Amino acid sequence: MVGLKGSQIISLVLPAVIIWVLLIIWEVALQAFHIPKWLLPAPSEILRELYVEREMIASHALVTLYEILAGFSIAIIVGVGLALSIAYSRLIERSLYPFVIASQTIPIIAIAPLLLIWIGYGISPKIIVVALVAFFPIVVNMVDGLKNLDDDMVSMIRTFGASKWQIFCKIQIPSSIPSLFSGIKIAAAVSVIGAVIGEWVGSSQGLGYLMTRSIPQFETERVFASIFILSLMGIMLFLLVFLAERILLRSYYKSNQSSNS
Amino acid sequence: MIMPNPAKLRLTGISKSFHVDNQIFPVLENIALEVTEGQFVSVIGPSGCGKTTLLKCIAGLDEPTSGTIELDGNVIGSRLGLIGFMPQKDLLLPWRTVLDNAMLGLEVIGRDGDQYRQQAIKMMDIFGIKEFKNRYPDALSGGMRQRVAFLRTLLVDQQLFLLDEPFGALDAFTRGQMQEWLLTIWSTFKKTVILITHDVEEAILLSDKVYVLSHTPGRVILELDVKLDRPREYGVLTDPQFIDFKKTLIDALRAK
Ligand SMILES: Nc1ncnc2c1ncn2[C@@H]1O[C@H](COP(=O)(O)OP(=O)(O)OP(=O)(O)O)[C@@H](O)[C@H]1O
Ligand SMILES: [Mg+2]
Repeated sequence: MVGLKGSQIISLVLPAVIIWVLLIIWEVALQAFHIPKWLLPAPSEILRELYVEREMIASHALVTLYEILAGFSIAIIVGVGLALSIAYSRLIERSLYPFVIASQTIPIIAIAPLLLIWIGYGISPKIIVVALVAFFPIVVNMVDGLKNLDDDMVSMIRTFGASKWQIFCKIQIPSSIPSLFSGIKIAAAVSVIGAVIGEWVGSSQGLGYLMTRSIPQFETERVFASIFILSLMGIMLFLLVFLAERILLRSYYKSNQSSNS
Repeated sequence: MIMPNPAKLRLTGISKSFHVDNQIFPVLENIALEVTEGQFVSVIGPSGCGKTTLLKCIAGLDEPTSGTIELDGNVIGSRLGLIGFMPQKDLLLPWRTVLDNAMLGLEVIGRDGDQYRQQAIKMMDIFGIKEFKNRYPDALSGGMRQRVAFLRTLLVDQQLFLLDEPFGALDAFTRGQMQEWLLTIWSTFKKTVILITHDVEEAILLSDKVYVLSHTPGRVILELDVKLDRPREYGVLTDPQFIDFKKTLIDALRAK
């Protein structure tokens, strides 16, 4: 294994330090200025809420997590499939790409309630909303990656008599993987937002629902507890993608690999 | 009746021009060139005179504006796949190991079975790159990368090999080593080769025949048979005959 380099240690330690400093300022300032809990709860109160209501919060969090993961996975599969076909065939590009772009010009806030009417209050309309917001960055980034190919590499493989399909598989797809991962990273972040929007519009479970229920009752610490869990999910999902990228694209980043592997 | 042995490659009246912004830029003008089986031929010329363009036309990546290209006496519609082409940049694929990079051409023609991999590894041994076979290209020096690129081309046993300034990007010392190395590789495998270079010594050291191209648009201004004994070694650089050839080539290159 490779040891942590100085810059990596800094990139881990620095955010942690910043977060602690901000939390302490937050905590101290609230007490100093006597700000009521329902207006802005202190970090300690949010933490207490997370602990006291852990079972209730966990049950909602699991629902949201499920929606995020399901929608995100569908977005990857559909996004990659669309990107591959759009980049391979001009006909498919002309007929499908406009719809892919149009799908993002319709506000998701407008689609979400319609999905409720069409599909109902269950989990599936939320998964669809997540997939709908997450597939777009994947398609756009991967199509760019597939099309932005090195002409000299293509010339090189053509001198071996390579067919269009071989060029696609051996040059285009591998060289698009870094762009694909950029798209997936953006998708990971917007998936969380998608799930919350889906739940806000109408649901009976999930962290988005918990927030909408807590706001009218001024249970502000519960809202913050939900936000905390949601951002934790977003960060974990992002890290997961980041790790997968590191492992899959070892050769792009890492050169000092042992030769007798 | 005695049929003359047709040349491996014959170019007649090759001209090429590019259209840029409604203007016509002539790049090659009336090039005639002949290479016989097993011959090593070099083309030298100033930068931008159309050397790469010439190779791309021969390889079938591009078509000349006029003129004919004959392989073994036949004009062939699509030459792609028949002629090996080693580009100026090594163009190794960063996501493939060295061995998989070397196998790329064989894979394209469907020869990627185990016996071909074994053969590739054997060749890597001869090329001095076997120890790197599971590494990724970014771990290799420029000279090693060129060897991998060269092997990738050589493994697909095409009829003719076009090398576009393979050592242009290397430092003088490594280039000298690579020239010597190419000399031994060539005498072992006896391939028909066209080498592009703008290094006069490299051209004489390696070739049976040297073509000199003019400034843009490229025309053949000299065709020189290098009558030096083979096998040659790096020491030949100080041979009086070698120095004569060198003077002839430099004079031709300087002439306007
Ligand atoms: N596809 C193209 N479209 C327009 N002009 C081109 C194209 N390819 C090459 N040229 C032009 O043709 C001329 C010759 O290019 P070429 O690459 O063949 O030169 P070269 O002799 O290989 O140069 P170098 O020694 O620098 O490699 C250059 O002026 C170049 O700008
Ligand atoms: Mg060139």
